Amino acid sequence: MLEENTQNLNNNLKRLAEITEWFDNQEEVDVEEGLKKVKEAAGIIKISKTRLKEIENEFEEIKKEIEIEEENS
Amino acid sequence: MEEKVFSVSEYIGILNSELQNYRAKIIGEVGKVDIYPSGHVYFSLRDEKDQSVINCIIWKSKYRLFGIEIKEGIKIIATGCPDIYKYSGKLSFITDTVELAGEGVLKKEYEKLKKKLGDEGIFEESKKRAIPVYPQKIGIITSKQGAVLADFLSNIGNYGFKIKMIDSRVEGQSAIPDLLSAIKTIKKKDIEVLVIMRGGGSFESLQPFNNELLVREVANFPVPVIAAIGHDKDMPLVSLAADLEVSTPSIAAITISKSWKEAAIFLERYERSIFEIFRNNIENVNNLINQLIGTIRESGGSIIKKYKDIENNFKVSVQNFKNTLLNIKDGLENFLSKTLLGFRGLAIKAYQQLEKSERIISAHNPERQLNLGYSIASIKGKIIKSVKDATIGNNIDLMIIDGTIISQIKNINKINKNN
Repeated sequence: MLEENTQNLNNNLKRLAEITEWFDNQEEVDVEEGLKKVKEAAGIIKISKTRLKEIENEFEEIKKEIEIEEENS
Repeated sequence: MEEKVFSVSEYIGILNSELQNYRAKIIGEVGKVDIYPSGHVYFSLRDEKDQSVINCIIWKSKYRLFGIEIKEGIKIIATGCPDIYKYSGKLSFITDTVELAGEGVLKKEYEKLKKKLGDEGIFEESKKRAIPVYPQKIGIITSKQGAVLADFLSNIGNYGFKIKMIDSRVEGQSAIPDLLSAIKTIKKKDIEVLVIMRGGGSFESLQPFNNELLVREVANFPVPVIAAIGHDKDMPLVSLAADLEVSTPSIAAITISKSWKEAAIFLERYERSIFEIFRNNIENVNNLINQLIGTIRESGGSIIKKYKDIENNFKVSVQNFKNTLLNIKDGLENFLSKTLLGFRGLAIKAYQQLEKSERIISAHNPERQLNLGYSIASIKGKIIKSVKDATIGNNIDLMIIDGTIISQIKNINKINKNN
């Protein structure tokens, strides 16, 4: 779930950049389409903000895998 | 109590167990060297001063770690423990770490390796990979001792990172096997970025990070590597081979969490941008609608006015038509009356004519003469106008006013008008 969120955050920011660009490039605004995009953006922003809220890190110490030595003299 | 009698094997076993406590670093000059087909290296280490000698063995698995060629005459520091080989009773110093000794030697070896690896392109900038944005799975190799790990963790921020850490020695040649083992272990783990950290130190203490095998492991690591190994003048070769070199663990942590922190800023920016633009758009549309309504109202007013004009014109036209019709009607009536009047005139004229004719006819009516006592004589229906029309003996029909008298001619007397 966390992984999906991370993946989404990256995609979400890209999508938001696209939406911003769309608005910037509209000479005549299609209000219907604009409203759809604003709704989409609001959803994305909400999810992304949730993801950016402090989430505790997981810390795990891993033991080294020791190679077995051939100690034949 | 009876003193215990040991077998040779038992006794050597005890000795070897005790000898483990005599782990040491020994400095000396390498004497005779034998490399067995197995790859294990047998060599002697001689004291420079009194020529004391100790036999040493370094197993192949250790020897290949350090990138040092053990050859006669070089001065090394060997680290290990003594051990008696029970089948020969010979004591050997089992070396697990070897490093070059002597001023300038380390530096020389460093430069030599740096050139070799540099020639291979291991340090090329073009080979550096970008540190992933929004990384979540982070691998760390460092020592749990000291403040390095704490520094890193206090700067990474809480973004739900999954951190896998392997504790490793990071100082001295003995760190090399540890570091190699750590990097091989973590290579198999699911991570997006690896951070190798230590707290800096002298050139000598950073020697493990100039190890050829370790440098190659870092250069070929499957995900980007950040090296946060402090240094003085000469940057460790591991740092040169890493995708990103930073001076401290804190900076490594900040670098990793940078994209996450930026995401919050981006989000805010996008949010502001999208909503502001849309709000402006709505306002613009609203203004446009109001304008249009105004225009429509104005247009509507003019349309009504136009309609009214048309209606008025139509009314006028209708009135005109009506008037025309009335005129036509009047004309017709006039015509009719004129016609009637003409007819009447004609009738009167005709009547007068009739009357006149009647008068004339009446004046000429023979009956009128009859009434005056005249009579009309005719023979056989032919009116007698002359004596020539009569013959004596003929019957004469005398028509009078109230009948006919038939008489017979007895005599004819002709009147001479010239008399």
